[in-house]
Amino acid sequence: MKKTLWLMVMVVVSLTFLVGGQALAAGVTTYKVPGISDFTGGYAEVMKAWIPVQKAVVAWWNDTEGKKLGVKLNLRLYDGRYDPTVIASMWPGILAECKPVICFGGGGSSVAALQQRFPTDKVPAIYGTATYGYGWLPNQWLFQVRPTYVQEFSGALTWFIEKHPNKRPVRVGTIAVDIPAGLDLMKGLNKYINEVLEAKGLARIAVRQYSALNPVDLSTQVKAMIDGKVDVVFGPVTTAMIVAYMKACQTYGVNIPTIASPHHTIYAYARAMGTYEPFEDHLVVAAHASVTKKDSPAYRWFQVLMKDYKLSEKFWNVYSMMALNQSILVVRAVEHAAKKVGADKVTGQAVYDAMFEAPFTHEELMGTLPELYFTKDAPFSQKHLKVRIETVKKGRYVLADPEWVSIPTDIKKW
Amino acid sequence: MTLAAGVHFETYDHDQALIQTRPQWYWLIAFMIFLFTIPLFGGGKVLGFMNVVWITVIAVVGLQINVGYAGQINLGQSAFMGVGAYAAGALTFHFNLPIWITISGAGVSAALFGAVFGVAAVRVKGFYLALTTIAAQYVFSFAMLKLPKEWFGETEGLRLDPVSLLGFEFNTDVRMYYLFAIIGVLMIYGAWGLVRSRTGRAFVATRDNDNAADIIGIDVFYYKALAFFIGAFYAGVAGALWAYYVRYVMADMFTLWLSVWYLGMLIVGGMGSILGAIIGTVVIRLIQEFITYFGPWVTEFEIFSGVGGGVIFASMNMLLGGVIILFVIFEPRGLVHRWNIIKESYRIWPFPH
Repeated sequence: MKKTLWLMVMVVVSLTFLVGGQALAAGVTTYKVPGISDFTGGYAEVMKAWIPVQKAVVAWWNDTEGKKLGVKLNLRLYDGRYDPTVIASMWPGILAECKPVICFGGGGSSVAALQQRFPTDKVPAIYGTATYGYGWLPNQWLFQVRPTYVQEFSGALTWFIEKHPNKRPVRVGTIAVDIPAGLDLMKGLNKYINEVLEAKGLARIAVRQYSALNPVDLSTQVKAMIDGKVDVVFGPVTTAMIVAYMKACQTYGVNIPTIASPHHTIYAYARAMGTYEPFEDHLVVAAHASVTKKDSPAYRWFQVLMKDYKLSEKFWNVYSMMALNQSILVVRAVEHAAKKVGADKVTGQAVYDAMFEAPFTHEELMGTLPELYFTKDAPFSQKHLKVRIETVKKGRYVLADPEWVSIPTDIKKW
Repeated sequence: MTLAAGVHFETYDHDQALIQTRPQWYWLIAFMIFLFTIPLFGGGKVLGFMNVVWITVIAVVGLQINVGYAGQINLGQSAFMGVGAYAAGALTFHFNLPIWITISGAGVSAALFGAVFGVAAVRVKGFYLALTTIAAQYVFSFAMLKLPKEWFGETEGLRLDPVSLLGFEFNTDVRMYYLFAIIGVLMIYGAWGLVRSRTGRAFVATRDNDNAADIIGIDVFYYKALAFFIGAFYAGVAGALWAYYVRYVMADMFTLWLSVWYLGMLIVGGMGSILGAIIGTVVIRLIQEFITYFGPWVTEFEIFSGVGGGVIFASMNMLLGGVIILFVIFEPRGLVHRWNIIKESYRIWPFPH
């Protein structure tokens, strides 16, 4: 008798929780958001800095705007191993499992494997890095938070020219890497410098060199730069490259500044060698907030993520910044769509449409990115493009310019 | 091969048949029904896995003919696949030819490219031949990035729309699966026939001792080049299917790393066996799939947080490499050898094997 009574109580309690839980959940629509990550491939070490940030931003949004809208995003991470074969193989499963309305893109390998599928599967994908000339295409379902590397580098080069009036025309050296991305980068830079800057007497390509992606030695290339009296070098895009470049500079007793992305040179080298010192006056540039600046809206938001979502301070770094940018655009894109069509009617198409309907403001993006205006002409914002330029001064990694710097508007697709 | 008690052949045709007994036919038909009904019960995850398995199986079976049967080490299979992918992409992109022409064209293009390295095989062997075929990888990549943009898209690669055959568009994973399955079955059937033919026996003779093969009248030059031609043809067809599946072709998709994996699949499955190539491909892809799902799971639950993330990431790759090393040491004849033992034990049961 006692056992039966106990059983009945249990059933009643369970039903109460079940019904109550459903009632509580009734106002919330949950969407699974897949993230193509890399846990076991070539970029696993880099992605370790991305994953906690992606999770924290999604959780923060669920508790703030998501709660107000009645939308909950459930982030599901998949290991693409940075391998197009693996990603192409797993994508149909992701579609079936998540029925995604948006997706966290996972670098060049997922672009290669999925860019043609995104439109037919109607899944917009957001990428956290800059892009290449071959990605500058109309009517894409993938969106980049940053423009092309060439545009970012050109922003830094024109700033460099402005700051060094005595060096005009600035003598530029390039070290190209024989991979599609490396060649595309140099092609775009060459076109801009030759057709625009040289015509204005501002800069010219003085030396062109080539390198392996992970070279052991770059002394021949650096010697050519010295002989060519080069003022600034574009080229190092991997840790091995920048280590070899700096070693060669030390051998010859010179310091020819480079312009690169933050994750290419200064930060990557300092992470390996534990010092910023050799990079005095080198520049890194990106169209997102700077990690060197801690009195910024981006850092204030990051502090919220640290305090409420247990994000470690160590994730305020160059790699994680890319994840921060990507994640905030993902959640804001869903937010725009949910506001437009209703919380329970968000689809891939609705998110895609919402990308173009209104700009994503600097404030909405929590200060991590400049205002983004997407159009169907390109997968990245083409309006009011701005970059942050960083450098090393007296051994400290700092902003080279206290303000956002505009990217030249006369860069044509190459 | 041991046959079950009571099974004996009365004609040469029967003895030489690929499928020799009625139970074998039943098993084959049941297996084919299973293969062709996978999309009905498999779901997206299984379909995605199987589609890539079909493509990989075709490339690895080609490599088996080249390496396992003819004994010509080949580290350029991925490049041959890339040539096929670019050829199919370009024929579709520029001329909009039907897929039966583009896929065949991809195979022939890759075969011609492969045969160039086959000619080198006449003069060099082993380590030197391996280095020569690695060169294929670099020649391919360099050529695709330097040839005129109008041909192969240079650094932009080639983007393709879904292909169609007689108005039937292959625009879903299920449709792609059937395309791959049909072509895959045909290619595997062709490989089985080839290795049992005069050509196949010439390959084996060349592999076992090319001097002896030459003395007994086998044209070693011809058969070595032919082995590369056929192996690369398979890779080209696989490349074409890859191009149609992903609908984007870029030189850096076809890396030396991929060629190494294909060799790993042969080692695990078993050298000198078409079935070995299939088993090796499926097993390695399953291990990759396991790692793909295990990696995020580990991070999600932080069960090895004390060990450190870097160790886990490294151990995943070590697991894949370790499997290959273990096979080389403990079962150099591959999983197919184990399978053959199981089959023969079953046939002669209750007697011990």
